[in-house]
Amino acid sequence: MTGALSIRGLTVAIDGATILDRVDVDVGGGQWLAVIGPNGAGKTTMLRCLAGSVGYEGSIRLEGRDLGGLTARRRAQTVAVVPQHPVFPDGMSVADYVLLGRTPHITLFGFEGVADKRVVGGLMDHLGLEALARRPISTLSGGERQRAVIARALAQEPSLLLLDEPTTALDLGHQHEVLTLVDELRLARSLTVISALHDLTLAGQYAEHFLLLNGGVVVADGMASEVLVPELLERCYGTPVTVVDSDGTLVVVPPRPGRRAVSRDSR
Amino acid sequence: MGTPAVHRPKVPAAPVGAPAGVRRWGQVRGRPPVVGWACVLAVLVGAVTAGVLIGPVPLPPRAIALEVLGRLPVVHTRSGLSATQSAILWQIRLPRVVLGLLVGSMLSLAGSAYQGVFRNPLADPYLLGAAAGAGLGATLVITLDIQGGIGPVGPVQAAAFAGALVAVAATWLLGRGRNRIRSTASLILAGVAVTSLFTALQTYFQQRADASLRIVYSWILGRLSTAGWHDVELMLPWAVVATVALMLHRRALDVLAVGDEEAASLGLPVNRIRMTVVIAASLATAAAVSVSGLIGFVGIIVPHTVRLLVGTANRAVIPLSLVAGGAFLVVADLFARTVIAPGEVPIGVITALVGAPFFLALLARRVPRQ
Repeated sequence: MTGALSIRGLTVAIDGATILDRVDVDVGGGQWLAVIGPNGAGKTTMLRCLAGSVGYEGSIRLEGRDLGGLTARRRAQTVAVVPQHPVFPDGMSVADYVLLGRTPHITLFGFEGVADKRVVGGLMDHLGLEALARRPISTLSGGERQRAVIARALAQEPSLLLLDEPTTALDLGHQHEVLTLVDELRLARSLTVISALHDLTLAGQYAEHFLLLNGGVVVADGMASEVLVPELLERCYGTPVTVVDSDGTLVVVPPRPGRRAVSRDSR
Repeated sequence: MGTPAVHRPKVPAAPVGAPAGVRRWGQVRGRPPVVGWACVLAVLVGAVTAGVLIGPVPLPPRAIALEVLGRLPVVHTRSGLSATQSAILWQIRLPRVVLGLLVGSMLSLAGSAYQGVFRNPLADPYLLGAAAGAGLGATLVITLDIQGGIGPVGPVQAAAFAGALVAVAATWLLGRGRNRIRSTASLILAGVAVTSLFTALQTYFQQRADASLRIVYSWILGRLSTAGWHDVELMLPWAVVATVALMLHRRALDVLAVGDEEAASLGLPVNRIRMTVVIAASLATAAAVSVSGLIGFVGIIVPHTVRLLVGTANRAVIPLSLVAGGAFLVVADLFARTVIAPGEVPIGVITALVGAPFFLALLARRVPRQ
């Protein structure tokens, strides 16, 4: 199946500290996996392993091929990353920025050809970026920039899309806009999507498969009903949570702890 | 009776409100940076013409044109230049102009490559210690009065070339942080340390031999020699190698602009590219420094001026810097040898005197647009 991913025994140790400890997970092709967990759980490190930016033990197989054995170029033809804090080069136009996504399909000393420009043009049309094509990317709003980063990632024509906290810098409306866009693209292109998400409410609304990490260890792996469970979340996040079923979507609500006590103490 | 603001005619294109991209032609995909190239080529042609015409002995322009045409294959013309005039043209003026083109283009090319690969606008060709290394090499040879040299290469040139490369290699080897990662920051810091060390050694040797102080000092200030084609021939092979390598990597430098990790996730072999670019830019710098001494400012002001003309994309900046740097140094050299003629001002003084205010003016124009 295109985009089917199988991770076995994924372990990362940096300076003697174990960041990820024997993580096993299977993701079906075209699925959306949300990697959740508290700060320091290893979410970003797991995505960086998939992107090839950090060394690891264990195996990651995409469509049966071991990602560890691929060159950077081959890997970039199948795996694309939307980083948490993308760098926007000063003065680079949106069109040039999206064209960077064609890098894995262009030889090292070559330049983009007609086919590359066609791919990028189509994507910019689709993502509503054509009117912004000539603008310097640093002048765009947060939501527009995020669309440009997604367009760049899709220009790689990947089968696996990695999103590291894609909604961090966005307001409520733009969070949904971006995630809805990713979901549409996933369905249209049968992309496998793996995202690290802090916001459990958003995660519950978009992902179909959840991986709960804590201290680099898998706590739970499965559907929303198996992972978004109050006892598990409370244990990992160290705060009480309520899970509400809203039209079939599980919404995680963390009640604010000890409000009265805090306000009384501060007087 | 104030007129409501809405009825006022629209103020045409105030710099603050204008879209930042409008005046940067090169940023606009699909439109080549024609204006930038036209400006630079005009300056180049003007500089070369003036460089050949202007000097203590007047040469008739028409005769020069015929003389140069006559050297082309199949063209047969008679210029009417005397043997002396012809010698002045072919052995003094032209070699100096060509050397200026080569040195200027290499310093400017190296500067734009360093700025791209280190993503640092303040990077210059001497960032990794090339100037300090070349200075130490030249000083050692001059103060210790070492004779000889390697084949056609004079001892000072050979020592300066080797010194520049030794210093850059030392920076490269030392600039590896913990986890064996060569980040741009660790390399730049190592460059600062190596520069300090080599400069300290250079000063020590310079002060120990005050008889040769003046020679060392004038070498450090930089100059273009007038003695035939020798320096041009020495420099040309390195210039060709560096130019080819950096021109090939200009798109890769644009990808590197998004940072190492993102560039790697786009499939770029980041470390290999950084090493190749640093080697090529360092060869260009070492070659320039070995024949001309330490000419400052060119490697910073020319690439930045070029960016103001064609935008920040390295694919446009690298080739245009190459041409603009050559033109700039020929102009600077023209000033250097005419301002106090028959004496000569060190060309490094001119590049700083002309370059700094020019650059500041360009920056001042640019600031309101951000």
